[in-house]
Amino acid sequence: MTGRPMIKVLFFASLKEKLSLDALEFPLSESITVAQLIDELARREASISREVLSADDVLIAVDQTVVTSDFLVRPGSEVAFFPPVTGG
Amino acid sequence: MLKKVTVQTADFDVGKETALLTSISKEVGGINTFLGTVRDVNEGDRVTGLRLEHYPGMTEKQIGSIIDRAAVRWNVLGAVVIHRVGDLFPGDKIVFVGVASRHRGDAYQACEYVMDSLKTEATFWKKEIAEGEARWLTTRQTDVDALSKWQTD
Repeated sequence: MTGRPMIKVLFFASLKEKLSLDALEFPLSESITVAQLIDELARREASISREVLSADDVLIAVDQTVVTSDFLVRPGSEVAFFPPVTGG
Repeated sequence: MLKKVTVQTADFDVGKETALLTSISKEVGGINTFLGTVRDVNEGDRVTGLRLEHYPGMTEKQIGSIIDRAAVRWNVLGAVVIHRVGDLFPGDKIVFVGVASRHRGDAYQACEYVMDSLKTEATFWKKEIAEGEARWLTTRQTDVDALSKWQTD
């Protein structure tokens, strides 16, 4: 399959519950910041709420490394949104 | 350095993991282990269960990096971290951290550092069933404060 370049977007814990969504594939043909990605997701995916993803305590990881919202997401990346961690 | 990081639903055997650390080499002179278990009370409420979720792949990678950072600061001949996910109940084991070093001082400190770092960095989330209601736990300030003692300038 040679479809359009996609990214994988994941949601964990309370965010997954708030959005009733654990993962989605989203088309992305050129790099954009995480903040721009949140806007795009909210605009094009009915289940995504901008408020939920841009809340102050939401953490973002791109390709399994924690980043800030000005980080550039490249086509093919894995982007995850999650609340502060509570393991141990 | 022996490095074992596992995230699993199944229970684990502390004796077996300690034996693994003991068997690394005759150079090992001290092994420090920490075992975390599920309490039946949290913030005054009776806890009947926990549900733990993680980010497969990222969590294991993070714990591996935490161990590597510990090995830069202290003598670490081996480290084992096991963390359970899924449904857990009061009395159940949740997390095991074991560090083997040449001397006990390194083992004590590296073990505490790994545990403190895991608490505030590793992508695990706990949902607690207390007083018949499920609620996601939030970060404790005491856990954040615990990490600050390891900061170096």
